[in-house]
Amino acid sequence: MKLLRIIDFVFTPKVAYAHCDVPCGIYDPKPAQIAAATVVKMVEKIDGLPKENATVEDRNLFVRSVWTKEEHARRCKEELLILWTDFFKAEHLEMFPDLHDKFWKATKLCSKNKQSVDMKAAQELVAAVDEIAEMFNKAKAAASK
Amino acid sequence: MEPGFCEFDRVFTVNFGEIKKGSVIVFKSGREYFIKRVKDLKSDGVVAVSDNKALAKKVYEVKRVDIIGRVFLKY
Repeated sequence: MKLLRIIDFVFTPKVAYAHCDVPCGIYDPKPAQIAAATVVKMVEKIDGLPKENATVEDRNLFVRSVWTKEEHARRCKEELLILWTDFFKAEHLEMFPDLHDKFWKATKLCSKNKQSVDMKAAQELVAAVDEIAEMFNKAKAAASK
Repeated sequence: MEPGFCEFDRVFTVNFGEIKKGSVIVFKSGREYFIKRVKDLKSDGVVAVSDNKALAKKVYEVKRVDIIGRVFLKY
């Protein structure tokens, strides 16, 4: 039967999913909150490094902190997109009319924190993600009634 | 849909013949394709679920127009 896979060279198969994203029914804003908190921590570390006469260790820490900030801002955006597109449904817009705006602004803050070292922006990201977590908890509570 | 359908399995679908309860279908939902088993028939579509309830509890209400076809061969 597997010989039939030769057909893939002519007709590229499309992917059909047999189950929902990772795994079904389990969504959690916590990973996004942890990622946002990590961005704040990394901005703190970067801000705390000497501006002049940096040692090799300082430069090493700087590079690692920038990389970690970048990775966690990316992770935060990914987690937010999962909640936005997979967890929240059309009916949630009645409960949270500004849902799309909140997600749009939060994901924009993820990008801003990748592009800059800005404590204000990092703290805004944490606040934005916490607001989304609150919406999530309310939506879950309403669903369990 | 494991163990009946696993990652990297290929299927052929046909869009002729009757879709019955128990048929495995491929359908489009949003921008993605899904493979599920028909649990119920409705006037304008079907209700489809996974064979593997441990991994996928979601119930899909699928309109006829979104059904790509009925699986007739796995390879």
